[in-house]
Amino acid sequence: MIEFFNLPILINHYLILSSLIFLLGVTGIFLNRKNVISILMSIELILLGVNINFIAFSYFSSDLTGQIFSLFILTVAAAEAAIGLAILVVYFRNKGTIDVKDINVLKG
Amino acid sequence: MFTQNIINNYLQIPGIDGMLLAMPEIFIFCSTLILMILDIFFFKEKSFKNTNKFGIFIIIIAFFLALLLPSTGIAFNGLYFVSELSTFFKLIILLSIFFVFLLSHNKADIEGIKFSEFNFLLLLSTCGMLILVSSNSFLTFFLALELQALPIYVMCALKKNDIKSAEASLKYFLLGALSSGFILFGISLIYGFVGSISFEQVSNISLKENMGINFGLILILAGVAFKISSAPFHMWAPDVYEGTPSPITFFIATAPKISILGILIYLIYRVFSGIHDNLSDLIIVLSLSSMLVGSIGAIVQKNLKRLIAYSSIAHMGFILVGMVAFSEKGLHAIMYYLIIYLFLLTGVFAIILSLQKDDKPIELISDLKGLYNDHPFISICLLIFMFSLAGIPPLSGFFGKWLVFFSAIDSGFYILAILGVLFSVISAFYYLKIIRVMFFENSDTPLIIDGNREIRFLINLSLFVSVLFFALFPIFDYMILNTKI
Repeated sequence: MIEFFNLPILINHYLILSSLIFLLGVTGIFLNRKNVISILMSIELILLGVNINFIAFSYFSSDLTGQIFSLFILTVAAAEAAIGLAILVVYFRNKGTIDVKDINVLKG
Repeated sequence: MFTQNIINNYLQIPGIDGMLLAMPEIFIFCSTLILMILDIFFFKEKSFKNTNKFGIFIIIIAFFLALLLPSTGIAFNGLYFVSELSTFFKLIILLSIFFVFLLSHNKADIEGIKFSEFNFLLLLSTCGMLILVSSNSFLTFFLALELQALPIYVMCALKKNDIKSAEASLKYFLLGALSSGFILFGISLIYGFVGSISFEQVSNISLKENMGINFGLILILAGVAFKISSAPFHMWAPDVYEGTPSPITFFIATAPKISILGILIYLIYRVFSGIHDNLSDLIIVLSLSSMLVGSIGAIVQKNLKRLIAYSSIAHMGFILVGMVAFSEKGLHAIMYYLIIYLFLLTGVFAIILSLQKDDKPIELISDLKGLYNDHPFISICLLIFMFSLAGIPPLSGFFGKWLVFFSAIDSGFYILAILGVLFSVISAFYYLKIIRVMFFENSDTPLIIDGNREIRFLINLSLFVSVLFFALFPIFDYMILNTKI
């Protein structure tokens, strides 16, 4: 057991973690049936999974570009979350609910 | 390799001199900021009209800046480059933004988008598109993509009291954010396996067998296909087109797609030209499924803008045929197609915007009943645009499809070209359905034309281009045939 914890953390561990977080976000968007807020949270998860990827690659190839890129992704994610919540407020004012199953005015 | 003929090598321009290359973008960005301050302090009553006029002015100046600054090169440490191809795309993007400004000038009131923010968001999004077509690294690519997309999400929700508009905006935002996530994950994989995000370094490395890079490429292609609404990633397009007010629908249908196709051409023809064999199968699938969904899906539609959405999906399929061909001819065919498509959509949307029934803008196809009796000239204009979209010979749409399919045949994709012609025959069915409704059916409530100078100008201009396209060929040839990537 002690030996298991002494193993070094390699890049493939980070890649597996980031892919899992990314897939969690994507499935969260498609399987969600309750609330739009949790879709927004899934989008944040996707972006954070990408960030782990960038930082891991950047650390293991000792190249700073990936870390700079992840900072830019953080700012864009903040802007995106702000816009998403604002759109959600407009939607809520018109509809009175944010249930995913009620988003059905436009179809065909 | 063929691409050697059309690819130039560009000079690195060091330091602050690179600013000269980015002049149109810098001008649009700074003047938008100044315009916001002017709007707060001076334009009290006529806020929308004045900002709209200034917007037109800014776009015209940016157009001439992009046209007359003849410099090409790479600037800002390889983040940004200007080539003849990117200048061409900048010019059509600015032209389409100019049309959006003209269309919205007098129609903002009835469409419920009379806020000066419309113009600011439009200008900021334009800035993002111009940077996008001349990005030279994945960092610039991603940031410009977000800069052009985020204002559009807000613009869709601009009609605040309308449930349709809010829902369209919500759907567009969620799927757009998902597609940026896909693109980012692809970029991160390519960064990890190549070790750089600069387009030059990526294109120099031979990447054929590398699993990680191929996977990243597929993710980037899926995200881009989302943005250009090519099937099987087209789900958002019909809903968003139907829900948003018409001037914004016209904007979504033209400018962002042109800019993203511009960078897709650059990615396929230059950055990933080494692994084009792996790519071409994917693009064939995208193209065929877009043509299929666009042609079959539109048949059952009753809403006019929903039908235009499906027709634009089909047209994306035709454009991607030129991308599959991967030759100089295919590149030029795509450029012709984009110009033709821009003018056709301008004409159709100008007509849709100018017609009213019961003091409301028309929505359904059946609202066009009796158009020939009420307004013969407008109905003949719409007839010509529909024939042209369907690809009937002397009109412009025919030449677009002709060039695209011939480029595919030249590169040996016979079956793709034959299927493309078949799907374009199927899609002629629903264009003819619109013509039947407006010529042979009558209605009790008359259609009212509320056209003003700008809209009449746009209808006449697009009519001129689509009827006399063969006469204008030399001009477009001069613009297109000398372009190098």
